[in-house]
Amino acid sequence: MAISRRAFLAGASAFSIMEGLASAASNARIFAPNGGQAAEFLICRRLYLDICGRIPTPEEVNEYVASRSTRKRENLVDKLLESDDFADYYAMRYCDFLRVKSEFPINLWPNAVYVYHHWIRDTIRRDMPWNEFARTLLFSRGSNFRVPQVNFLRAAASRTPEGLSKAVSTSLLLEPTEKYAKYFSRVRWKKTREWKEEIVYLDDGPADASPEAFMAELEGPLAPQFVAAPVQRVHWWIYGSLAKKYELERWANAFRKGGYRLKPLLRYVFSQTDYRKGPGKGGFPARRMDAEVLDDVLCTLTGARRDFGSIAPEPYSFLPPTRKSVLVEDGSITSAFLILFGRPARDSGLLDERNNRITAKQRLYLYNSSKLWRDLGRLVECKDFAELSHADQIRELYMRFLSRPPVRDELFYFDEKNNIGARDVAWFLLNSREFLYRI
Amino acid sequence: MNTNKQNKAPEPAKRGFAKSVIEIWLWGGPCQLETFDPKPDAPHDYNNGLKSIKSASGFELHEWLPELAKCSNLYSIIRSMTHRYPGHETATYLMQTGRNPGGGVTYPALGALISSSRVKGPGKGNSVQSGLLYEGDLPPFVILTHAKGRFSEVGFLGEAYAPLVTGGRASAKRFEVDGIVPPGGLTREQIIDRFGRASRIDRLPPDAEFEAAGAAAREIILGKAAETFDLTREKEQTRKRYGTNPAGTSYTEIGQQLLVARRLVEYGVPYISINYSGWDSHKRHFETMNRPTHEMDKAVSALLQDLNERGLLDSTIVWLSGEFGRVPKVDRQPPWNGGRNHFPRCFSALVAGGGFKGGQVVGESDETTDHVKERPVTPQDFLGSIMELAGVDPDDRLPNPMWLKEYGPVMNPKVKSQCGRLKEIYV
Repeated sequence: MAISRRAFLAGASAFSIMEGLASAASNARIFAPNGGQAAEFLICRRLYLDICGRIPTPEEVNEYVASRSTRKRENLVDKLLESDDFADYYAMRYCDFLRVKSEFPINLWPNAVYVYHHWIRDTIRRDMPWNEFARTLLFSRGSNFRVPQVNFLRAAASRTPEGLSKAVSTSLLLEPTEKYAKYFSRVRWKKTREWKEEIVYLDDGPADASPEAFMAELEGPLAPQFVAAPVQRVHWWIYGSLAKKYELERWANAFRKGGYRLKPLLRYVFSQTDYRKGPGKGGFPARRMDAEVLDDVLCTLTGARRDFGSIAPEPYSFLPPTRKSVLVEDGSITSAFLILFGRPARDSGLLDERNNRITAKQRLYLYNSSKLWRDLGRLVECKDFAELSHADQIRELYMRFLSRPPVRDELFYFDEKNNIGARDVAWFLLNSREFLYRI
Repeated sequence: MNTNKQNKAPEPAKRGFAKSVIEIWLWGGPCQLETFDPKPDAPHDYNNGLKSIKSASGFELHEWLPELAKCSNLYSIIRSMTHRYPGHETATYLMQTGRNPGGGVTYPALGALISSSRVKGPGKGNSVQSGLLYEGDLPPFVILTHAKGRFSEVGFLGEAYAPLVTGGRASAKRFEVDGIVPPGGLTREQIIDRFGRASRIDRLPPDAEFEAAGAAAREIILGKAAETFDLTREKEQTRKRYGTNPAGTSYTEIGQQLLVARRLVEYGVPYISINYSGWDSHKRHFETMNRPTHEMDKAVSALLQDLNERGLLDSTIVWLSGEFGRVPKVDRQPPWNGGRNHFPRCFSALVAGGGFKGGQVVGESDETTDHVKERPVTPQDFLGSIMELAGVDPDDRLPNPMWLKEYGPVMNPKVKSQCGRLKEIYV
């Protein structure tokens, strides 16, 4: 993907606005200049990563930093929550815990995966309340191709009452348990003449042994846990840990006040002091970008193409190489990069199925992959980039990779006379924790 | 341990187990007639008038394999390989995993099974023999130079057992192995300088996990592991031995890949797979297959002799096959114009070293290779034999990932073996 001249100019204008930053030397001055509060560019980058699953462009950082509005953070959060990127990114997160994949051990099958993903993404965009979402998943009956949400009662590794109980309680209560098996003892599936179509229905039996009765439990005695589950999930996504009791109560309260909707909860989370802390000890916890997010960021920066494939022997499924990794509906379709960087298999729906820990193999790839090196070459050989002066190239790379301009000693370090080419600079930035992590 | 086998006393080991396996995968399906099962007396439409030559061990090989004919005491051939899948993907899956395609679960290929049994970790197989544990810096499963694609070699075993796929070109001036050998032709000093700068440039305070992962990665890049891929450390005579172009001005890619494979065996890597494509000769078969067959002849014979001279052949299994063979009767009609299509009913394979006898022929085809005449060998028998000699029990349960405990044994029990594993050519 070529970088437009307009983008360069927009990035360049950000430099002047952030001029104060350019003279900063210490890390504290760069990342947390205001009494431990994160720098504005960092807040902007965090919000883009946490809401949209991507890093901001130089123009977007520029716009945010330049804004004099006292509500600029709230305005940005509102804007991003209404974006397509938000729906894409949170659909991916929902699909993780709803186990959306076509092949073993879940076996939703491709057509069902696509309609189900489309439905999930739509509910996120419309911000369907959590209790209504659960009710729709539990009450729906019919064809896996025509009634997307019935796939919830198919997405279990074991389709016994116990297996369904485990799958459903993992998704709705964050607790894999078989103790609710009786509510799923009447759930049945039958084939049709259409290949891989399946009808979900309820067999005859007592009314208190049904998913509807389980919903009554969720809204009755299980309500605290039922409300806590999505709240804890959001805490995990943002901070990489479960909320402690006091914090959980505050967040759950905000969730309740917001009508059990995701967007008001996120607005609340992003308005908290904790979210505005600078990085480092006692500050905002650094986490490596999700596999899909890192893949998309690298492909956007360098114009690289992805290489998706299905690991299942049949059917073979391929996606265009320009498809965002965040938007890959099917957990059975993946790439070597996504596997390497810990994309979850979506077999269990548990939180820790996604692995964002850095490994030696990942660092080997980032250090030394000839594909990445070629991709970086494509970036710096782009005509618009090549025409910039060496110093502007450095500034541009910092803006694009780190969402900030280089400080004086960084510019000095990469001075032309030190004979470090733009591709090498890009390589250095790519291998930095500041780039790879959401800080 | 498989509960069904708990009461069965283990057979005493009669031989040492092979430490390493080299798989030479002829992607596309080589023709049995122009390799290990020539039929010079068949009609012209079957052999195109080409002849056979007698090997040093007395069996016939196609005239395009003169070098392999000279060292036939080092390997054995199977002329009765058979299965029923004529599609590349399904046949490859079967010939790599020993499992029939379908069923919604992807089983691990032989390379992942054997290599995962050699390392410590949750996926450790039950059949690891003492002395076979691998603790090198390189991953235990290395693929030269491109993955097979279409299906995952590692199957459900997961990323921890995924192979290192080298990328790059072994015959290039510098073999740039993805992740191991830095791209851009940097010297060791330049690489060290780079790492130093990278750590200085990172503005964030050090993080133990990030640093440890980086240190482990740098160890691989700067340690002995990376040298394994450096073919400039070999004598030119050795590099040429594995094959050059007819003018002698450049090395063949397959030859240099097999030389890297030998170096990886010396390093201790348990499983090396070479994916050698270009054998899918639907059109103009005889014109297109002459060159790769000669290159394969030169490279494989050099590998076997080199391993033997270095005392490594006894502890290294070498196997060579494609996913199937080719239709015996040449199709001279357009658009094939003298091509051969896919043919799984009867084809050939080669095994050597690591407990396999040399100079033997297993099975027999009919006058044209249309049918197996004697001693059919299924993919399950074939792969099971390799596993057995590599010290991994093919009847044992899989490494037991949490959600697959009900699956096993490794080789599909539903496939009835017709004649069993290749025990007649075990040493």
